[in-house]
Amino acid sequence: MKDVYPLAAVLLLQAGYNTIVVMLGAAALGAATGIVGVFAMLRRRALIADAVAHATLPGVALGFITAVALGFSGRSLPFLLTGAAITAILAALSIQWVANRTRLTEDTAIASVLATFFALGIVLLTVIQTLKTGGQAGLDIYLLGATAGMLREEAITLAVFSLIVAAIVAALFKELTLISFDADYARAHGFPVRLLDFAILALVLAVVVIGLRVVGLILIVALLITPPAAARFWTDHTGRMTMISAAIGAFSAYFGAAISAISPDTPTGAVIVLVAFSILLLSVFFGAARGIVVRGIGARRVRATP
Amino acid sequence: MISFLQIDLPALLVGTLAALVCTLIGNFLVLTRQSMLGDAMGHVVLPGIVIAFVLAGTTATWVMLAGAFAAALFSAMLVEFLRRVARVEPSAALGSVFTVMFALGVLLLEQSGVARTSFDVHHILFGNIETAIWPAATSLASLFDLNALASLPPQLGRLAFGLAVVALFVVVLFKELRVVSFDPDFARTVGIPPQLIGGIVVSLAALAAVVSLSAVGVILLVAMMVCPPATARMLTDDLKTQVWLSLLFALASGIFGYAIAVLLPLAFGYEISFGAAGTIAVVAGLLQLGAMLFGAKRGQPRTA
Amino acid sequence: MLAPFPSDRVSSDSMSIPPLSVRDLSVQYGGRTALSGFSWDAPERGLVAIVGPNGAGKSTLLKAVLGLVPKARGTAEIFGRSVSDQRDLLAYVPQRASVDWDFPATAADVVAMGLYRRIGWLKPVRSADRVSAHNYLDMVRLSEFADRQIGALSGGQQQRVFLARALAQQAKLFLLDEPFAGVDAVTEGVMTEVFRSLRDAGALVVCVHHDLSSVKEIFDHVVLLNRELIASGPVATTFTPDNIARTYGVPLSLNPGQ
Repeated sequence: MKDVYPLAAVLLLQAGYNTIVVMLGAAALGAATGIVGVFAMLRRRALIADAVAHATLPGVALGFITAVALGFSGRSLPFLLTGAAITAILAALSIQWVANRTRLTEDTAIASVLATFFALGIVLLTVIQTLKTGGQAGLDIYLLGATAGMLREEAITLAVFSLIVAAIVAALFKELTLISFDADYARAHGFPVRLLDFAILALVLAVVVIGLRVVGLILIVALLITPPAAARFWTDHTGRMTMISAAIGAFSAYFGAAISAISPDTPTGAVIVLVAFSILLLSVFFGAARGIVVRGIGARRVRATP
Repeated sequence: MISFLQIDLPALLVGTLAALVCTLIGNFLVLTRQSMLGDAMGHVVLPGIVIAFVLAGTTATWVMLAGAFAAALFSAMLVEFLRRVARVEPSAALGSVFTVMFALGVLLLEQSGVARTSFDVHHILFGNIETAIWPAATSLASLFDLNALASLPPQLGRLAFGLAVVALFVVVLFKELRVVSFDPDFARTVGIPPQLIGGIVVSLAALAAVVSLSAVGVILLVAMMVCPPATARMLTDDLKTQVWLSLLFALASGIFGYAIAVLLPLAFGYEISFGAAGTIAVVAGLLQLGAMLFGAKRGQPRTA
Repeated sequence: MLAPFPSDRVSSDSMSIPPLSVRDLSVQYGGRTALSGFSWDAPERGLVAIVGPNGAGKSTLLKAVLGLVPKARGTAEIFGRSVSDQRDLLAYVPQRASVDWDFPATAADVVAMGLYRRIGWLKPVRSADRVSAHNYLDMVRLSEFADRQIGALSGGQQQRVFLARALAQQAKLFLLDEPFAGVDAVTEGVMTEVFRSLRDAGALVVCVHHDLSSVKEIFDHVVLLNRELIASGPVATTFTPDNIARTYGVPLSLNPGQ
């Protein structure tokens, strides 16, 4: 923390215009992952999200190779993200296939798909590193994330996509809550549970792919898991929990991007995750609804007035 | 021949030994529905290794092991605290802890200046089997020359030690492991404490992760903890057969994976190279895919 | 040539259409038969207990009717039409064990879920809906627990919240899976009272029920089931020691005459 003053300046939006846009873009992403993460967690899809995130690596690598082969820059974002989305979808389908069609349990399906896809990505990356073309170093940021060198347009795209994700969740909020709480009941009353599950998975895929650039594919899952887990300690309402989770996600990403902006060697994803986890620990103790401190006081009060 | 002894043999040994130790303990993770624990272990030991290195200033085996073990133990306690005391949903507890530990490791690595000196994030992620070399080997006779053998890469010793410890526990506790994996409630009634056995399994997984991580990278250990056991599971219902089959698949993945990584670029022309650790893991995944498509026991006898 | 009234349609129209009509229903679970050749026409209104030993297919029957488990054979109709056309007329209360009790929802939130179909897609829950949810909670005497997290309620209170959610649906047919399992005496009293007022309002309430001793005092119809239909009809004439013995395979030391 040798750079406290610059950090304060950056946090208070006194850095350059570009930095501010990037930080706000990251915050929008953090909010989107916080929102989607609530349902990923409540519907028990958190670890699938981890596998899907790791499975973007071979897609990023194939996107790079395709772009280079077609004469584009290897860092061309559309190629990389399309590739990422394709292999992530393949991984999600593979997990479903393994869990439904073989005797392997879901956790084994998730772990083996994660390992195989990620390994394939790593093999492709090692291949790329020996290709005689530029821009290989640019791929590193997809592993652990970086906001340094991020363009204003990228940040704005990030924010727009995040808004779309938030709007979709808002539109389906009742139904997503219902299937997460009681899927049998929802099915019995004609709610399209499979379709809604698919929507959750699609939203997870979307934020993972959008978030690769900032957080990196190894740690993006933390932005889906940690903010909702922290938010749960503050409220017993799904709606409020979603808003709090969005706020925690946004704050963590904003903070991480700010630190990354003043020390370019810092992997943005790692800082974001550390901030989010610190908030989780604070919430565990001081959360207003389920925090350990509040629960302790509540228990004593109940005992005092029988 | 000499280049095989100097370069390929040590790398091959490191790759296959790591595959074997991870697979052996992975069988019990898969059976007890803890497959993601291998993944978690791969992530959480990183900060331990980095801190140990920064404090001790050496990559000596025991320093690394101590640091990694401390990190694994600390993470396990943190997960248990989040689950039992704070009542966080179990997979969220696991997920938030292993990501934050990895993030901490990455940050320490970058900030302490360790990166690019002794080991860096790339080696941890991608594996660096290729750096295991045995320059003292001058001919086949070196295989019987104690002085030359003493200069074998230190990873090999660590891996052999890890494999010996894991194998010892698995052999001695096989009966108990079988009962606890199958029916923890029954195990309790016949006086076998499931928590104790479960704790031993997790500790052995941590040991396997520690000895493998710096030698072969996180991806190979994660793949080997789950893929070969899952492959074997598609072929047999007998636990003992499953363990042996899984070790066979681990061995096959190690040998064929390494061979592909070395030979395929030659076939393509020398301009590209494959990471051996990643290739071994991919081969393990492909073997699993084959078993899931054609294995005799692939279907699900599980009832609703 | 037109044939506007096929003969079977004429006969069913001449009587009233049963709220629930099951024909030749069979369900397979992992190669085993959980339910076989079950046919039953529910009475027009009343309180029906589905009774049978463990593994007799009681819950499976409800789930197959609702399409939650696949039917190997047979059909189920609600008021003469397929279940998917009549979702608005039915309310289902699953077994309590099927939900996540740590879920971030209060008792009022859960009851409001019963209104979701009527609120419709893309529209939020409004304050009028919340008021309505409170009214249904009041009917099961839980209004003071409206803001309590669902997992912080007792088992019986949770069951009453689920019943209130079913009431909010304003259904004609209620299907409940073991509603009386593990509940306290207050809850049992409240539920029985609510069921009776539903019956008096013209609804049909069908419960999977495990407690033979309370069948007579709560229900007026009974379906005895053991993988196939053993007997069905009014409790007075159907719930006989003979039929019970046939259902459970052994004569029970229970005297329904007392």
